[in-house]
Amino acid sequence: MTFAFAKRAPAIRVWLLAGAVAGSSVLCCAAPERKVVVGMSHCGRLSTAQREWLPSEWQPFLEYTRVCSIQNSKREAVVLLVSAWAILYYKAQPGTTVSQVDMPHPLLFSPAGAVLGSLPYNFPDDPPAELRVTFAQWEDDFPQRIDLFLTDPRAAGSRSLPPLVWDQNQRKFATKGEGSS
Amino acid sequence: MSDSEAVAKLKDACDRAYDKNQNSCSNAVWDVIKELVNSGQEFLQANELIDQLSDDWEEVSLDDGFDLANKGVVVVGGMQVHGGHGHVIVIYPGPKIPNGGYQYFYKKMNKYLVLKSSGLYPRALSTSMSRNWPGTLSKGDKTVWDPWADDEKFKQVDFWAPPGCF
Repeated sequence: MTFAFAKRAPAIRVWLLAGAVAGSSVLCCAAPERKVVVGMSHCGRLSTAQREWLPSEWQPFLEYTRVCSIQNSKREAVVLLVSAWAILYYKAQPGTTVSQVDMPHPLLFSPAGAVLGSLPYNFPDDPPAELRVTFAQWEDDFPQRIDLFLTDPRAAGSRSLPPLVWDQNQRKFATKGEGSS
Repeated sequence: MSDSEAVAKLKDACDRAYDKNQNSCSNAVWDVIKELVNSGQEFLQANELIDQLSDDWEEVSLDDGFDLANKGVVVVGGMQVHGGHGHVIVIYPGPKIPNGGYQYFYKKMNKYLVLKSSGLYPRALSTSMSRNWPGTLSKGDKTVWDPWADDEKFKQVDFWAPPGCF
């Protein structure tokens, strides 16, 4: 739908692309479809209170953990994406060759600290892959879907992953079929 | 032909296929199939070859494939990539070895990362057109897990043996 729209409006298409490249929110005056591609500009260090939301397995990575604030059209944070940034962790390790470690999967929180779900790969890097996260299908200023795209040099190739869909009853993001009891 | 002779023939065929086709998984597997299974086998890209194997060969578990390869039977593994290039390999005879353990360069960090080992797997003959991932290049020195190097993706890899071998 976005592609068809962009084809009809070349100037807006350029604006959309520029926004995506910059990793910033993509908003358009007339477009009903709001998309937020999570970029570095959304992210920063965790507060002391936010650190306490994380289970013990995050302890070795707290120094390298960042929180990305996903904001609605009123610039209010509606979802927080917390992840251990592999690039920061590995850069901090001595030497030019580093043993790869398992890092916890990114967690999604409400601004109040309720767990809203998790991502299947680390963000923004899960070496050797990179994950692009897009908050889409906004309704009532809240994203109903999270699109995931993995850039992957391994044999499975770069690919879209099953999207996470907001379940209002469970108050969680999950892939379809996951979490339904 | 004894098992040891059959294993030696499979190993030789895999080695030749690797040396000749380092840029193409489907050509490497094609060479092994032509030499040991069907000299009239047509060339197919990985996705199409997997379709043919699914129809005409017998699907086997990884453990059964490992046993068959060590009797000299050609066992092909693979996973399709819809809208892209799938990947196919041959189980290389010999004892299982640890996966991972090799390094790769992660450009964004300007560092080499050493992929951790998580278990023992059968060895692989694997070559690759893109050669972007060291796990796709194996002359029996890496495992059947390494081209995908992801437990979740590896669960989707299937293995087939020629009919009547199992």
